[in-house]
Amino acid sequence: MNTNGWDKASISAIAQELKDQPGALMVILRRIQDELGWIPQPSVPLIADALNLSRAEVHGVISFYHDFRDHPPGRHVLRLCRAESCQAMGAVALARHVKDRLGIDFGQTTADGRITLDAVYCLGNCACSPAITMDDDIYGRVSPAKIDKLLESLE
Amino acid sequence: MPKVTINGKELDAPAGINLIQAAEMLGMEIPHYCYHPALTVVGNCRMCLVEVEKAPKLQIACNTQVSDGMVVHTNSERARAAQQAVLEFLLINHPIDCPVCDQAGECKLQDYYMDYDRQPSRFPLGKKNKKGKAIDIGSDVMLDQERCILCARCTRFLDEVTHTSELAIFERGDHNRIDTYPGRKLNNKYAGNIIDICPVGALTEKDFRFRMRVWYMHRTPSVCAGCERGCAIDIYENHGRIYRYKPRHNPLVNGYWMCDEGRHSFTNLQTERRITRALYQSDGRLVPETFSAGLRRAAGAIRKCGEANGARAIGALVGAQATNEEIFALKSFMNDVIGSDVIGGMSYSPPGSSGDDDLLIRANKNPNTRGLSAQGIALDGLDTLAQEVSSGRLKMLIALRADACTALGEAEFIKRFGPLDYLLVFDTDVNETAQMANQVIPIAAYPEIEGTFTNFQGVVQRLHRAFDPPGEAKSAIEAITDLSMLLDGVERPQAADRIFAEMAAREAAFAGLEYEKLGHNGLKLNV
Ligand code: SF4
Ligand code: SF4
Ligand code: FES
Ligand code: FES
Repeated sequence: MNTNGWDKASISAIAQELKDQPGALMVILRRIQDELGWIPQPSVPLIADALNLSRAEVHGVISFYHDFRDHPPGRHVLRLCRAESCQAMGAVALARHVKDRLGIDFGQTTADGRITLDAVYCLGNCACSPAITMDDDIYGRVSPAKIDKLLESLE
Repeated sequence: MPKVTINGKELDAPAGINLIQAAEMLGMEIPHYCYHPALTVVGNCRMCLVEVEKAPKLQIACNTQVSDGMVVHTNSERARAAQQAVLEFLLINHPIDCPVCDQAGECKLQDYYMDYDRQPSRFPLGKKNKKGKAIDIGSDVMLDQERCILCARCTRFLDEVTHTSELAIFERGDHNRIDTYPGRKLNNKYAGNIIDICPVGALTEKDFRFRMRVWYMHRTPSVCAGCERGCAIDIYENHGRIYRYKPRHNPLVNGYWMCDEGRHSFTNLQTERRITRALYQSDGRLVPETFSAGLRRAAGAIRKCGEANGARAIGALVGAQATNEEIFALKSFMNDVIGSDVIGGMSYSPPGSSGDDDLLIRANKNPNTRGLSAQGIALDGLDTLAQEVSSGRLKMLIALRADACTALGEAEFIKRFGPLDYLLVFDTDVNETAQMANQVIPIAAYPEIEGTFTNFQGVVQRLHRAFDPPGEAKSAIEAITDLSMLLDGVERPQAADRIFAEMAAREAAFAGLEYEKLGHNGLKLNV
């Protein structure tokens, strides 16, 4: 995961392999994002050709879902919930802490390419607000100290 | 048939129609944006919410089919509250730049605001979402993303009619916007139709932008002369100047659409090449004179040629740009006044023009080829008449909307028709053939006359006179009957309906057709 390297042949191969699945466009986009961590723009024409869609239609779907990235992310993705419940439980301060510590804003990646910080709006974990995810894992009742520990544990 | 009641009025509705259509049959409009009769129903604008008795919630009329016993209210308190709320939503981020918007005056957002909303905005202007304005998306279409209400009519047209899907909705929520894929443009021959179906001013025509306010223009139903399809159109004009063509719904011919080439074809009619006075050849130059002097000169030449060589030395060539009535008038003139049956037709399409496609466009770029054939005039006139010339029998040719020189090329034209003593041309433009003529009589172009074209399917549709021909030009029928008056002193009818009636009586293909009954859509020939 999180490789910036990609080539047209492997994207075409993914598109060809999955093009007959139901809802093929989403299946292909998710696979590419899973394998590369992002969806390079030059893959749009390749996917469009495989599915007999226009480039505009493919771009429309990619841009609809904020989870699909058009730039490579850092090695780890930290998503911080900013929705109502988490805000009520200290997410604003938590966000300020994380931003200060990493020296980046939402949507940015640290200069060393280690961490990308994203804002999300409800992780469905409101009972344990404030909530975050680090890569594929979810954490509840996150305090600045807890997040510091988590960040230190990453390579 | 299901019986529905809308606002207290009963209708025996055809099964399967929706409530917007049913209301229309009762003469009522249910406000709607995204619904278009020729596109799939998506139900995304919610403007058409109505109250259906026994249904717990309001229903969207566009996606509700009539069923027996249905009772609908479009004016109830709940329905009106919904209409007002939908409009308020649509206007939250709307830039309200009506004063500089081409759509103003024919904008559904303006119209429905006045009909259903009329409340001051609760959203300060400064807080509106900013999006792209005046984006050139190709094919003469300009996009304003701020004015767009995201009804998805344009994207559905491009998905379902042209199957090109150049536009899509990007992003989501407040950031939703219509756009082309980065670096790409519209690329199909029917793109102009999205301007027509866009209910607001988000899509406007590049050539038309800022040229004319819609309320200053007059609309005249007519027919596009760009090819043998003959799409039904409306001509929009002000003081004799055409500003735009728009397709007019005709289920027999073009449905709701027209092609871009036809849409812009009026520019060919408003050129420097239009002839406004009669012209005669003197020392290799065309010299202007009055219309009547030109006709007198033409009549003199006809008399002289007839006396010297006999009536059959005079022939006529008629182009497939002429109306059915003009063809008939010329044919009668040749037969009854001159006494010659030497008549040929031509139907010329410039090389490199677009070929037949599966929507509307036809390779034959003449509006009335079928009409010419229907009156028994063969299309090989350029060959048959040339033989008459080379055999020495034909001395004089009368060409009506027949640019033989352009069709043949100058060298071939001179080879075939150079030996003529006299060439009399009735045309709108100083085209190649007119430049070779001994005498040119200026005539009206199709937006300037009444008459009919017969399209390739045999549908006879009416043209209407949108404005007067330029200068001294007259309709070809007036020119021909004036000329015959000079020759034999007999007054003949000039009105298109009278000529049509005579044509229907004498030409088998037109038998049984009545001018007044052609209506908006036209009628089919019998053969
Ligand atoms: S551009 Fe016009 S037709 Fe297209 S979605 Fe927007 S409002 Fe509808
Ligand atoms: S298809 Fe032919 S008749 Fe129709 S708009 Fe185009 S040129 Fe005109
Ligand atoms: S509001 Fe943060 S998880 Fe629901
Ligand atoms: S017209 Fe019915 S929802 Fe848009």
